[in-house]
Amino acid sequence: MIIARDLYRIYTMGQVKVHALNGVSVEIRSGEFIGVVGPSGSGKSTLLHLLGLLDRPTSGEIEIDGIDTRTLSDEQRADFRLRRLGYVFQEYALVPELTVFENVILPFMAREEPPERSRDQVMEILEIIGLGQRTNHLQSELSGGEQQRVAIARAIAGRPSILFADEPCANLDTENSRVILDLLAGINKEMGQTIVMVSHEDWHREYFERIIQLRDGKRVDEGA
Amino acid sequence: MLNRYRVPFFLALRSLQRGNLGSLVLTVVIVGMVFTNMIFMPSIITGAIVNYEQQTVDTYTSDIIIEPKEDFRYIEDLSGLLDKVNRVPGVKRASPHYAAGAVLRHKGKALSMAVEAVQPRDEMLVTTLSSYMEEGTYLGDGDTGEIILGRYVAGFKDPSEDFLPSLGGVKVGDTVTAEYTNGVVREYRVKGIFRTYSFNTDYLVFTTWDEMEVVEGRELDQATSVLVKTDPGADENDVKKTLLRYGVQEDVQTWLDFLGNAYRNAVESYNILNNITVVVSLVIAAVVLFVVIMIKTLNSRRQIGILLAIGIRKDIIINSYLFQVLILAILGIIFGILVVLGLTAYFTAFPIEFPEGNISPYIVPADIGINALYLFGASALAGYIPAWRIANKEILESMRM
Repeated sequence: MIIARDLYRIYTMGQVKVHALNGVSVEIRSGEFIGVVGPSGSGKSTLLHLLGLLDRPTSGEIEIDGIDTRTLSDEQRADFRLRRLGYVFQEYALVPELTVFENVILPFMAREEPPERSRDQVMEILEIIGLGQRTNHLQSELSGGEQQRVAIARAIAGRPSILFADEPCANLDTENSRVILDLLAGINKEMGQTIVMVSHEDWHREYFERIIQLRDGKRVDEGA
Repeated sequence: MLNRYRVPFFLALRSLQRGNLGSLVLTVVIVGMVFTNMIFMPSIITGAIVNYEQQTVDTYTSDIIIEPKEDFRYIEDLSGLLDKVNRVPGVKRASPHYAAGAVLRHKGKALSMAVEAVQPRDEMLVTTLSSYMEEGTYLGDGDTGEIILGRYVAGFKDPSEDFLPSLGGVKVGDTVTAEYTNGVVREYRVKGIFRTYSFNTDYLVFTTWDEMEVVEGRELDQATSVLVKTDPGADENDVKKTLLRYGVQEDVQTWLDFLGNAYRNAVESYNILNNITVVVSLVIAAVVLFVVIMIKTLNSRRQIGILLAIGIRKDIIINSYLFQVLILAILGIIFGILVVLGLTAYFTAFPIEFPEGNISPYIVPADIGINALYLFGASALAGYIPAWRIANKEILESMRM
């Protein structure tokens, strides 16, 4: 569960101060599939980065699973991200020299989990996302949609508390976007995975259980 | 502890295995060539020094040289001194030299030289000059009326080949006239011409002790120097101390004392040159590896940002590049060692010809280890800095690049 209260994020660019978020509060319950939507520059990605502990708010507080994230050091935040959060970005950001299997098992290795159990979990998740037969392929041998599925597998294989997806379909055509969205929806339903996804495509809304709408760094949806 | 390095090593290995093969091979070759330069060039200089020292000890000074005390021209009571020296533990044999000034003449050419008298049987135990006869044969005990000349004294038919004033191309069997400073004039048949490629030795003239006694007209119990050969494995400094303890009153010097500070300074200068070669090579290797890793990290900065975002620790990312550079350094060093061994084998079989003699590379095995460690350290630093810089950028900044 995420509780964020009164989040402000102000960037200083030279002499100019950019107010990316202006007092946004959100509460995301376990098992929800949340869509963060809004026009360009509304603060969608900034909110996701703050909730995902990739950035720190100028003010405000974020509590994840009862932990006040302000108390965490940089190292603890990295460990928190590794063990409790999952991420999918526009860029698939796979390690090109690693196979599908190796890319997905990498976070398990970083967490120093037992190899046998890690292998089983990775194979299970690769079967679920439909890449069970392509485990030994390199990134260069996969289509864009397949690469994004590997990134999703990498993100969810460790069963994170929350999966953050920052416009995961931005580089995909409609057909492949639908495959990814169906996959995320399936993971949400069948595995009870909490998902927070940023999108600027209206047709994506049909997949979201609840929507957080932003404009000019403020919430403008009904729950605001 | 090992687990901590398992992931970065795995990433490094995969990056090298499945990355650009051409870049990998080129980097290994460059590091290998740098390592070759670190070892091979200094080994030639060291080879020249060792060659010079060996030639000097073998043919000019032996291990220890005894000379008259200051202000004295001769060592007196030579037989007593030889008895004493030959009894000293660690001394293999002592060989007296008696030098007399003379003008040598041959077909209109004249040369002022010191003719050195030796006792051939003793001399052959103390120096290896007898094995350097280029023409003719070495002296024999009891020979009179015969001399042997160094190549630079005998000279060459073609004067342009002479490094020093010579007799203009004397051959074995030719007659050379010696006009000694005591007024005695002797005609000598040239019995042999030696060539050691040491300037000092090859500008000497030798005759026998018996012949010098004819010149001096008396039995000689004097010497201008005594060369002392130590037993194999004996330290010349220890033997020198023992000689002094046994009551040798004359000026006793090891071959290194004899060559003096000028020589030690020259060796020091060569060592400085060697060190400069090593440092320059290290800088080249470090810069090459720095550039390689810098390009790799710059090309991967978005990927590095995302790896940091998903919680992969900074040290894993930094160490993955560090391991890459260390693996490249190890491969380069192995390649370099193979090249150095190949070159050493070749130039040992076919030495490089210098005026001072044929020079083979002289490699001290410890130098390979030490230079490998230096290169390893420089490589680690060169790989660590760019990886550290990129991994310490803000995650979002890296991801936006």
